[in-house]
Amino acid sequence: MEEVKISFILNDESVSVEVDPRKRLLDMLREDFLLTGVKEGCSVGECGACTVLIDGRAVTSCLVLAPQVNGHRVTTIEGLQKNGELHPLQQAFIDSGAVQCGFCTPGMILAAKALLDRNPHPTREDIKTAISGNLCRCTGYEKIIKAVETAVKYLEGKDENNRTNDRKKTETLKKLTEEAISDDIRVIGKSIIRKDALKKTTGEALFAGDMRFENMLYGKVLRSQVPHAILKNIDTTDAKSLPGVKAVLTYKDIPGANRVGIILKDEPVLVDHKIARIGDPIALVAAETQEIAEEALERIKVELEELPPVVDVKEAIKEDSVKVHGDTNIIAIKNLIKGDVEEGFRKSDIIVENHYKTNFVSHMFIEPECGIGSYENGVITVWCSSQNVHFDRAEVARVLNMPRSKVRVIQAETGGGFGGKLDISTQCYAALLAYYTKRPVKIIYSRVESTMASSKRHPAIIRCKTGATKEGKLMALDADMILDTGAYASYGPGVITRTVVHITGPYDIPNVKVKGHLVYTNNPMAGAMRGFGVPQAAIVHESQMDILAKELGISPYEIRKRNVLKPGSYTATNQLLTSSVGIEKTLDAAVEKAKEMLKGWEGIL
Amino acid sequence: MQEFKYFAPSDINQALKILDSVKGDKRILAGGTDLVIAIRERKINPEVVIDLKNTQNLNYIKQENGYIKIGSMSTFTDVIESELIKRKARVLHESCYSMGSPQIRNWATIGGNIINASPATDSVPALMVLDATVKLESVSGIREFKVQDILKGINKTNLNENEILTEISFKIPSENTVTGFRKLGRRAALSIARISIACLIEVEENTMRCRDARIALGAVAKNPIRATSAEEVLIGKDISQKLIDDCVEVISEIAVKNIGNRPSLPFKRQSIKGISRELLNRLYMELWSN
Ligand code: FES
Ligand code: FES
Repeated sequence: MEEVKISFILNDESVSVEVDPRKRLLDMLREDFLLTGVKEGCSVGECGACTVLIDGRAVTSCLVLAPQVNGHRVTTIEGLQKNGELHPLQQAFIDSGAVQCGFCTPGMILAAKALLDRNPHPTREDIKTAISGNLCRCTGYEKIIKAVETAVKYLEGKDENNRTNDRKKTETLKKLTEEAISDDIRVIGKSIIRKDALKKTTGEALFAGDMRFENMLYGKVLRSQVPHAILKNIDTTDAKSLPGVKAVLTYKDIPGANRVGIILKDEPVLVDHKIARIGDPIALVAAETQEIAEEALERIKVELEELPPVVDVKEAIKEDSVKVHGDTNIIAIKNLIKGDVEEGFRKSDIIVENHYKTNFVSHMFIEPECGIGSYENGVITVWCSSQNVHFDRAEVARVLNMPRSKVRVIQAETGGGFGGKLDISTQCYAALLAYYTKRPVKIIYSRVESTMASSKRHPAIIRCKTGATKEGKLMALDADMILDTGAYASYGPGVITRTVVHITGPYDIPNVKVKGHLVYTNNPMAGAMRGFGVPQAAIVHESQMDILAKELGISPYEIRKRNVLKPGSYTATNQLLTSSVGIEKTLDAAVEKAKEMLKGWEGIL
Repeated sequence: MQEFKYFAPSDINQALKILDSVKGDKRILAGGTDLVIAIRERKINPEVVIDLKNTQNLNYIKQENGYIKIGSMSTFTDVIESELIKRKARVLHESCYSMGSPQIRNWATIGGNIINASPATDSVPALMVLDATVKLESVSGIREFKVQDILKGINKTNLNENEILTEISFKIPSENTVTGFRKLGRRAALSIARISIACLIEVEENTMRCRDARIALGAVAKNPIRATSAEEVLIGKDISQKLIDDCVEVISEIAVKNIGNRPSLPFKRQSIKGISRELLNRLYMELWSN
């Protein structure tokens, strides 16, 4: 490829490079200048993690071709510190607790800087607009907006907590952070600096994608485009013959077990017999560059016999349905019975019964999964974006048929997880490829691949019948539900239990009967996600309460107040609650707050 | 990703010469906020890319003989920040402001947005109600069209292989004119229009009598369309609440007819009424207070 010579100003220094014009500004900054504070979250301009400043304006560097910045001024997060002093925005992000996983932070700070450089006294609306192109999944925007407001004060020289002076210096801040951590007894009740906030605001924090090793290869996964099929044959000859390809692996190359999974071992590392969902992994490639690896994937010939998929849980539980694994799609049936619901409904003056349906929800952590494997001196090491390194280690050891003592898994900075990085992702692939090539191998998922392969929130279909007396006292609840765990169980068996036991919500119901089914389909895999089965139940119990209140002609607050669990109540699983039952207080406080906010509208409460 | 030859001409004449002489699948890179993704995802495989980002004299917004002229490489931010456009063609200001994120508005260009010919383009409905003309230049000369006349379907235009869109211009609306834009997306920021409306209403001096009305709808057909029969409801009459309600009904009918029997129809049928009513009511109020 003919390279293009360009010159531009990068973080206040003139630079000249020859660059492949196909490279994006993002790639050039990360690869050629090692400025890994520029993050890639989506590759399509949606997340803002790759934000840099071009001539002082915020621009998403994933949408810019490298040579386009010829003659321009580019600023990355690494260019914000001056003479060992943080930019007030960096400091304000640290001081305001606006940094969590930190993957969005560099982009966020730069978007805010573009604003403050032009408009040093922005309104809250201005700030919101300025960061409207940046997504954060951890912190929530409130603290980020606060941080920008705080930075405005720092810039004005107003600093209520007098934090500016002593903390401006990076070195001082480092020391303060370390002291706070080592002094852990005395941190209780104190506002301390988050341990990793500093390096996350300067761009120094290393996420797996930012790590580089000498002699490193790039790995890619060939994934199924169809939801259900029998694998007939894989031909890798053509892929292997491509120059630069160092390994092409299929299930036959797996030295140990070819099934992983947190509760049930039902997910193949590489498909050996049956494809159960779109995105199922079929083969692995390691090559000298990402491009070669991609091309090699295209050269792998896969023969499939497509099967009709089952995508509807109601279909899936039928006896004669298409089966995803084995001879039934039902993984678990959970029953919860307390008291006598028939009796409870007889004593009810009013009964409401409704059907609810919730959907798949993706975690959308801003950092897609990434892992690097290495194999040296008989030890496999994996650095990865993960929430579950001990599990990862055990699985890698099983798959490679190595003792756990020969496997190390190290969690790199992880750009958000929310349950979605509990399942294994790149770990086994990176380990396998490193094992065969004896070279470090990095696998980084694209956003599309991440969304395809990672778990989701379980969709639920729930029928719920609730009875109450005319005074609004709950008497009985009868529910059944089906949760769709997709192609693999993941955390499903745990999730279904939680949906079942939480369907009564924080309410005291003497008679309860619940039945839950967890089923396989050829849909994406569902697993752990924030709330772990409870949000699905919450939609139901809260809607039922509102509907009952309406029928009874009492307020939504009143019906809840009459039924909340208190010390002395028994839960649906007959646990006697003795202390720490906060729902009533919470409810009252919420109503007080609502009254304040809804001046003149109190009637609706 | 396939290899391509990259050119970054310093002026338009050089750009036109290169474009005319090179062979193969050639693409103009304006901002690139759509093109870069399309190349990476291999939806297109250009052999030649001509980058206009650093080409001189294509980035301007000026007033000339009663016209506003916009260089095709002006970014959305350039348009938004132009006082001239804010004052004289608010519809364009609003439509450009609603496009993408700050980051994308800082890099994407108005010319690129037109040529990309997306059904959901934000700038085109606004330019249509301003009755804008686009200038296409090539080594063999200049052609001019009304903006909607160069759009020929999704991602299709009538540009010749050797032509570049260099300028967009429109007559400055009279003082008795109000304009505006509204769109509905899936989320508040960064969303692609699910449906959009641009509107211009001109009244006779010191009256509410509608002299001219132009309404354009985005994301209801392959390219934005003018809602002429809805315009006719207004033209020649005194603008009133009743007239606006009638107009909204007609707009909705036009949208429904164009969308055809697609899954989005029930949603769009209702939502177009919502955003049209909002916009027309606002313009009505503005006329009152003018
Ligand atoms: S916006 Fe560029 S990576 Fe998401
Ligand atoms: S801190 Fe913003 S995405 Fe994690």
